[in-house]
Amino acid sequence: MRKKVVRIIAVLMVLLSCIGIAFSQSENKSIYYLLGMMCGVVAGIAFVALIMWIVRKMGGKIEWNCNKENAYDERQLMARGEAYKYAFFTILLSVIIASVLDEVLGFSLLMSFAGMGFIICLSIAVFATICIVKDAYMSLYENVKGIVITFAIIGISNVGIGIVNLGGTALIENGVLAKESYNIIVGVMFIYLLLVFIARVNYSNRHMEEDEE
Amino acid sequence: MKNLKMKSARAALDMSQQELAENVGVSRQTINAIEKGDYNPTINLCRAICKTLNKTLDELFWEE
Repeated sequence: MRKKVVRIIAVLMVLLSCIGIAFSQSENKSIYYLLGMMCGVVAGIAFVALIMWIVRKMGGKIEWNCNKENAYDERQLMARGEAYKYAFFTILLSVIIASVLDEVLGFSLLMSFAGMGFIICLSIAVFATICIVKDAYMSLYENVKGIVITFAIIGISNVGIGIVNLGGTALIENGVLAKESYNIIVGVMFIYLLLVFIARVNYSNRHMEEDEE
Repeated sequence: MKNLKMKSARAALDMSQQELAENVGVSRQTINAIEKGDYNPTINLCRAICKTLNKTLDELFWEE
């Protein structure tokens, strides 16, 4: 009951902050613009609910709360800690490299909204890859099917939305990554993680019988 | 170093790695890593494994 209340408060806070952001940027913007932003937030929540429904319907198990008690065992927690470390240094180094390239060489490809998104996705990919390779990505409440379905839906839908958003325009505009490419970056990351995850599961299954002997 | 004592105790009970993992509350890969000697479990996990396999800590984890 207490957890439910906390979750509801968290969702309300996210909604309120979105409204706040919308109003803070609302100078010279019509009410339709604000309503559009609100619809975007609602559509996002509905999309997550839809994915959860599809995953459950197909017999998959997925846990959205990473902090759930006993979700990971002690070996997995250690591996995840190490993965966080590498992800942290990846984001740190990437930001430094992007800034130096921009300042010194005038190469400002990553100095944009999508560029920063690319750096974030890169660090997430590093974290998730290490976790997957060390069998520390899937929690004890999840199953392979759940993760595969979720990654596939998020990956494919983001690539699709990205292609529609681009609408024939280039990924790079005036030397920087166009903001319309953000969805494609996220989609490609999820498809990459899906492939790594499937490869790891196959490897693990192939060696399972040998380990048991 | 491989933990063959744990592996044989599990096999004696006709238990798979997956079943032991579920009883102990860890992933199958963790049990596999312990048996292969790739991971040193904490004392809490050792105790849980011993209780499940009806063995003492010495019988499973003491190296002579």
